Amino acid sequence: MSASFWKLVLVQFREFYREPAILFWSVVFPVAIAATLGAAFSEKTEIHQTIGFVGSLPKTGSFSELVKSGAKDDHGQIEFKVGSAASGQMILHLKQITEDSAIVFLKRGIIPLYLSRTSDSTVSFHFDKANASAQLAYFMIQSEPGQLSAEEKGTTIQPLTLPGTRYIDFLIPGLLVFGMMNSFLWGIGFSLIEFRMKKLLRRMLATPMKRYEFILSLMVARLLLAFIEAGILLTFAYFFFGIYPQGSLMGVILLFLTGAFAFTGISLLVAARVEKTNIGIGFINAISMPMMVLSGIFFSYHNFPETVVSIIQFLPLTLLADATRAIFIEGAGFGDTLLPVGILLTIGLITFSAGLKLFKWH
Amino acid sequence: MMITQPQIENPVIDARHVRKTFKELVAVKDLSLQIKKGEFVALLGPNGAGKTTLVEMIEGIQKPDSGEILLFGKTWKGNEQPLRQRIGLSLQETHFIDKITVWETLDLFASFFGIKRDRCEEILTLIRLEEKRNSYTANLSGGQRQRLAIGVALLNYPELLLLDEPTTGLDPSARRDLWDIMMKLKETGTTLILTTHYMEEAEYLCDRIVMMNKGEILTQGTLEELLSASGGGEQIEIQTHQPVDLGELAGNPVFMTYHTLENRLVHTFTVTDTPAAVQLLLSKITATDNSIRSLKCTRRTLDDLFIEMTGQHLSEEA
Repeated sequence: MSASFWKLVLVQFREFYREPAILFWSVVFPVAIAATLGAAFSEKTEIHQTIGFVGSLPKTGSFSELVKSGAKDDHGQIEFKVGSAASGQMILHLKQITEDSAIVFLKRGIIPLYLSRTSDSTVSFHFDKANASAQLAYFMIQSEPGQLSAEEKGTTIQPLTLPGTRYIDFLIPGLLVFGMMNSFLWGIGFSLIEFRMKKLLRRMLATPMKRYEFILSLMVARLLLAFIEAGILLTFAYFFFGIYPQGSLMGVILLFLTGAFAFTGISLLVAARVEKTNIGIGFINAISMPMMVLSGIFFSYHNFPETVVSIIQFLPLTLLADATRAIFIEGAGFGDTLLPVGILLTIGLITFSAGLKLFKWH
Repeated sequence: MMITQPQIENPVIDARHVRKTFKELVAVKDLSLQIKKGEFVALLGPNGAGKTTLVEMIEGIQKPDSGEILLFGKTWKGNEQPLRQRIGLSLQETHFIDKITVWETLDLFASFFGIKRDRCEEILTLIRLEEKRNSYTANLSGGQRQRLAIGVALLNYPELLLLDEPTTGLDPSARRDLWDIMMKLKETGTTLILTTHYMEEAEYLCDRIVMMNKGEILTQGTLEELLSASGGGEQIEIQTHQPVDLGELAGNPVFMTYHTLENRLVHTFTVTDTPAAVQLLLSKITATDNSIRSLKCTRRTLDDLFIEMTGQHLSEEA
């Protein structure tokens, strides 16, 4: 190879490492994502899973044998192992709860299934057969040596198909707020950076245009578009899956508005200094991607370690997704939204004022 | 050679001992400049001369480290809104919103000034973009985009117009188009400041040329004043077939400067009277067997003047 070939290679390398955003995006970010996801779904052979049990435990029978083989965990719940070293083991934590809270936990994705006692020696399984992790837990329990097939043992499966327990019920409210977040981060954050890069921001400021009107116009335009987008998604969800908010509609609207405010603030802060759109893309992705993965949009975040969960719960997208989901599938009322609304407003106020303070207009 | 300007009564722009530094770099140092109403002034200088920084301070985008700038007798501080109403400007290379049409762009900017739509029609005619009214700004040529930028700058009938390198990167005909628009403004009493590194542009459009270098005003005046103050005259370049020593002619008052290459074949003079000088040169050269290979008479330019004063060309493209 000629010297110029290697020089060309070198040029590519230089271009790469001299752009901090690219460096972050291609080196730090994948590692960070791998680390977070790894924490949730590590290749440890033991998977922890909480399952519910309604009523008192059976005194005899193979399920009671299984429970007796276990020990108490840190929370005083019984934990027992199912599966084998070869197939991978699952540690089940038995949470004794009422039927009502079992349904709520199921909807929130905290438990994939629950059991109930049908006689002194038999139990019945309650789960959505379309839910893979519920199926997995069921088959792991059934595969235990000494456990017979469901029919022989007298255990029964009670399929759950009532609205609110299906995966689509979990997904739709999440998609609704996820779409809104993206709409704001890209629509406001990216646009502002583009305006700055093209010197349009500077040009417009040379006129008597009012700065607050400019920022407000971006926010209002996005809000209208986000409402239209949400409307389309909800119409689809209603006609195809019969999904609609079972709780307070006003609560949904209030959440949507405060979420919009919080994401406007975040967008403003992200775009405050960035001069180039290619760097802006990295920044916006660095904010939206982790929330997409962590905030329980596509799957429950309860698989993450408890310390991580305590942080995840306060991410703006998580607050919004959890509260919206509670209204949609648990029938939460207007009052239930006030705490997340308060936190979102605070996040919005902080990021908005910091963003305005740091904002580079010229 | 510095030509001082007399004090102007009620200047539109009054910059007093303005200084601006960026970290180590002194962009503008202790510069004073007054511009009267209706005057067209060119700031001419190479890249890095401080033209853009000066214009940005006049625009109120940059604040001087020391000194002050008054526009219509007012400082920017506390007068931002009323001053913005009276000023129009275009930046070096303006991009508009890609998927917004020419008309929509004008309409948007007009709304910032609270101006009626009729004015947008007038502007559209003035910048001759009527046919491009419904084109996206992204699809305009460089010249068209620059005309739109000037159009936007003119929307609010500005009393003061600031144009930062309005024709840089444009082809000669697009440049002419822009010059025509600006010439029409002369009749309206608009005051214009234009930065450029094209001498012809400064010469064609402006009443006064301010030459800047390294953050200072090098000299200023009309083109005639500048050229005559530096001795004026024309330049003669003569090439002979045989080497010849013309040094003794330089004593004649017709010749102001004389320069020859080592081979004594190419000779350059600046002269006060071209016909007389040519006569003298001819008789001297033809007195021997020698004869003239080529003869070139050119008018001295600001670039020549600039080279003389700084040792640099005005424009890198020159």
